[in-house]
Parts: sequence; structure tokens; C-alpha cells
Amino acid sequence: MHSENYWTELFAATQVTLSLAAVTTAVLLLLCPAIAWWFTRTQNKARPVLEALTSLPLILPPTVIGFYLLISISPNGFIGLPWIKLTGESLAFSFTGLVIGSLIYSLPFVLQPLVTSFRNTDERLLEAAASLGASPVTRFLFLVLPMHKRALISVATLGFAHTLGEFGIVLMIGGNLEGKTRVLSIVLFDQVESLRYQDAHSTALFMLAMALITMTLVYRFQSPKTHD
Amino acid sequence: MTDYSGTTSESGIDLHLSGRVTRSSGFKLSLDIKEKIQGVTAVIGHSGSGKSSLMRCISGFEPHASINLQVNGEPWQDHNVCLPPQQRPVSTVFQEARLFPHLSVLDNLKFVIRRFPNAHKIDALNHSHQDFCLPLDEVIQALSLEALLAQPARNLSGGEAQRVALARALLRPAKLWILDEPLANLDMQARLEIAPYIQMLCRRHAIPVLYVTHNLQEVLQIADQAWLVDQGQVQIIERVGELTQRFPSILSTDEDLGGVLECDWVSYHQRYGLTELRLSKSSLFLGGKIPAHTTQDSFPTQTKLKVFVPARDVSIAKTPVEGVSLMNQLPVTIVSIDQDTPQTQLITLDCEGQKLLARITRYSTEQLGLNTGQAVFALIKTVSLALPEREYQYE
Repeated sequence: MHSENYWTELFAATQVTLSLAAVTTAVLLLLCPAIAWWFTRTQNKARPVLEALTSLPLILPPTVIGFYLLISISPNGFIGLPWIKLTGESLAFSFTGLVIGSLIYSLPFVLQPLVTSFRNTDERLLEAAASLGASPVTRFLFLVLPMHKRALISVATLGFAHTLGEFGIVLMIGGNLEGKTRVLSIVLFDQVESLRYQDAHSTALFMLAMALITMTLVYRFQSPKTHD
Repeated sequence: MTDYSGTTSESGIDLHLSGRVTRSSGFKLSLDIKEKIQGVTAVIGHSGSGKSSLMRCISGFEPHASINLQVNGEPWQDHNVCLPPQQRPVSTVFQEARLFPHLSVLDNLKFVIRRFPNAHKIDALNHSHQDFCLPLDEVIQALSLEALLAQPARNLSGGEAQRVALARALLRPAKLWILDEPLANLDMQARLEIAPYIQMLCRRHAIPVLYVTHNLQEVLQIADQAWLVDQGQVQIIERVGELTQRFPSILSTDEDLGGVLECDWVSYHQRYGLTELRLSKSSLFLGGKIPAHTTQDSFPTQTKLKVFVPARDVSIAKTPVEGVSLMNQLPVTIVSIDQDTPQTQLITLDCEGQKLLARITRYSTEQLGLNTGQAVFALIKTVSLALPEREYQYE
């Protein structure tokens, strides 16, 4: 038997989780193509450091990122303080704070595949476009992006899926407010902590199914090239 | 239909290009060109000689080269300025078609038009716009693209794709055309398909063309003058005819070596699939029909055709030969005999006032006892595609 509030709790957490993943993916899709393109084109000496920096979330324990985030978005932190002055609200334990955390956490999963894909851009096509009068911005928007459509779809799904599974950072910075910052992974954690195994089983299975569906979508777009 | 065919006059540009291009590999190209260029200029040289670098300097893909480039007095590149390629009125056709694979043929063409909305406004085309380009419907017609428009660019064959690339370049307003070995990547079939279009474009429109190639056959057929890129220098050759005599070393392959005969079209023999051509006295037979897009069924009689005869396909007999399958035998006079390689000799022949080349072994020369001034017969194995003369209009 599920506990009394189980379905409300699950529904609320699903809503938060999906919104978080959607907002994070949208923001990442706005930022990452431009950053990735810059990485593949620039001669700037700082590029390797910056690229390494953006890939750190791949290897650092989420708790480490969460810890630094917690400090920076706290009301006295270097992000938190100006944010309060600007908006009057605290970032810590807010949905916006969670979004910032997820952005960092999922960044490499969107950025890195894009960089790899962009490095394979046929330079000759860009030269042809330039000689036909296309400015760098036009080339990027009308050639580079459409030519890497597959990669864009696949990183969008990957970013989304990865944000769904976020746990460590949320635990550090998210608080646990139902309908606001309580995501599915935290719900599961709480259920296990309070020995509600029946609930935990359903939640875990639900999350597993969601992940499977998303990843199936990812791999659908990576199907062997057909001669369309 | 706008008439743009006869507007070849007063359309040269002044090109000043000096400085040098260096590569980390040690490659160096010194430039000092001050030319008014008009018509078709062949840019020739061995692969790796720097032809492409030279073109890239002009079209703006060498922003780091220390060069000085002025076109019609306007600085395009020096130590202060460097116009990016999209701002230089230069239209380039590359070796590869470089179509945008995710777009249809029509969208590939429209891509260019969207970059130059002003030049492609209805009225702009009728007024003499400063830079030359053609309206979309004419480009589609001139390159026979109607049937291809809806196709995805990635589905085209090599020849079709290159035709679209030519079309795309024609839509781009330009003062100068650069054709960078547009035939080099195509197989023979596709070359035959494309060559007449290139001829047409070179001859038909109003702006100068730089035609990069290492194929002497193309040079002789298309170009008026030539830039020879050799050993890091550029030499200007006023008449392409001088090339074979003065610079035999530029010939990259044996196929390049040969003579060009100007002929009149006589008839097409349906039954044998042969086209008959005529020099002033003798007849010359060409396998196949001259491709439809270069001719009409009734070929205008005043039209001169240029026929390329490779030197290795010409042999020499002292008397007319019977009982061989070679169809073309022309009476000729030996003008000169030059050592070609240790084993072969290059014989220059006069054929009714036109020049023909034959490459035969030294052994044969001595066996036959050939001498300059001697009247002999040239046996011609193959004659390749005839390409129309300058004054011919493709309507």
C-alpha cells in the first residue's frame, strides 16, 4: 500500500522535475551552440582552460559543485547577494537556484557533444558561403546549426535526461519544498530514508521508465544514416 | 529576357597585387601583379605551385598574408584593411561543388539571393548594376536546372552539383569570377556535361574570369591570356598560344599536350553516330553528336568549333594509309622536330595553316627519315569534344 499522500507528492515532484529539466535544457540550448562554436573557432590561449572548466561537472562529485554553489548563491555569496539586491528574493532553496545548479551540472552533456560535432564541420562549405556573401553570423545560423541538427536534437534530449536524474546538487542547494524544489530523486531518497519501501519501489520504477523513454529517443536520432 | 550576351566590352578590372604568401612548410609565393584583366585569364602551374593560394589572396581567404591588394584603386587588403570574403565582389566556383547538403537546389540558389536582396530586386537587374549578376530565372534556364530545383543538393551527381555551383556563383554580384579547377574532380562524362556551360559562362558575361587549371587543353580552349605560377613567381603570358612552345614543363600530364584545330560544322551522320567537321580542305570526323546544349540541330554555318587533338594520339605516315581503322588522315607539313623525352620526339605539324602536335618515338622519326618541311599525313586516333568559338551565341 502506498502512503496517504503518495500520489500528490509524486505528481508535484514530477512537475518540478520536468519543469526544471525543460527550463535547463532550453537555456542550455540557447547558450551552448554559441559557446561550442567559439571553442571550435577561437585561437584564444584561454580556450583549453575554459573547455576544461566546462567539463568539470563530468568528473567532480555533484556534492563538490553543490557545495560551491551553495556558498555562492547564499544571501551573502557573490551571486546570491547581487541577486537579492536585484530581485529582492533569495536564490538559495529557490527554483531559480536549482536551475542555476542544473545548468552547471548538465552543461558538459550538452556542450561537449556539440563541440565534437562542430569540429567536424566541413570548412569548405563555410568558405563557399563566405564567398557567396554570407557573414559569420549567417553562416552559423543558416549553415552550421542546420547541418548539425542531429547533434542538437540529441544533446537536447541528453541534457533533459541528465537533469531528470540530478540528485547531489539538488540535495545541497535545493531545499525540499513540495511543488517548488522537491524533485523526484529527492522524493525517492526521502522515501527510502523513512523506510517507505512500497512508495520507493513505485517512484524508482517511474523514474527508470522516464529515463528509458528519454534515452530511447536519444538513440533514435543516432540511428545509422539512411540515404534520405 | 535581358540581353547580357553582347556586353563584353569595357568590363576589365585593374588589379594590383603585391607582397608574399609564406607557409610554415617553407612554401613561398612572391606577388607583383599590376594588370588590367579582361576576358578569360588562365592561371596555370603545377599542383602545389601556389595557384590556389594566389586565388585565396584575391578572394579574401588569406587574411594573415602580408599582401597588398587593390582592385580598381580600392584597397581590399593591406596592413590596415582586410575585407572579408563576403565583402569582396568576387564570385568563386571551387573544385568541389560545395553545395549546402541540407538544402534543396532551389534553396541553395536562394541562399545567395537573400544575401544580396538589393542586387536581385526587379529594377536593380535592369539598370546597370555595378557588380554583375544574373536574375534567378535566367540562371535556371542557362544551366538547365529546372528539373533539379526540388531535389536535395546531396542527391545530385557530380556534374549536376557543379552546374548548381556555377548557378550559385552567377547569382552573386561580382566584378571578378574565379573558377578554381571546376572540372578537376569530375569524371569524363561529367566533364563533357559541364565544359560547355563553363565555356558559355566565360564567354557570355561581362566580367573578367580567372580560370585556374593545370590542364592545357582547357587553357587553349577557353583563355585569352595566362598567369603562369612557377617557382614562387607569377609570370604573365599575353597569348596562351605561346605556352606550349615556351613552357613545356608546365604540362602536368601527357594528355595536356596537343593542338587545337578550328573547324566548321558540316553535318551529323545519324547512321554512324559521327559528326563531320571541315577544315578549309579536309574533313575531320568526331565520334558522337556534339552535346545538344552546345548546339541546335541546325548548326549555324559561320560557327567555328575548336577541336582538341592530343599529341600522343597523332601518328605520322609518309603516304596515305589504307586498310586501317583510323578515320582521320590529314595532309600536313612538318614544321619542327623537338626532342621531348629521351625516347620520344614532339613534331609540330602545319595543317592548312593550323598547328597540330604529334608525339612519336625517336626510332620512328629516324626510320621514316622525317625532316622539317616534309609533307606527310597525320593519322589521328581520337578527337575530343569540340567546343564552340568565342562569337557563337548559345540561344
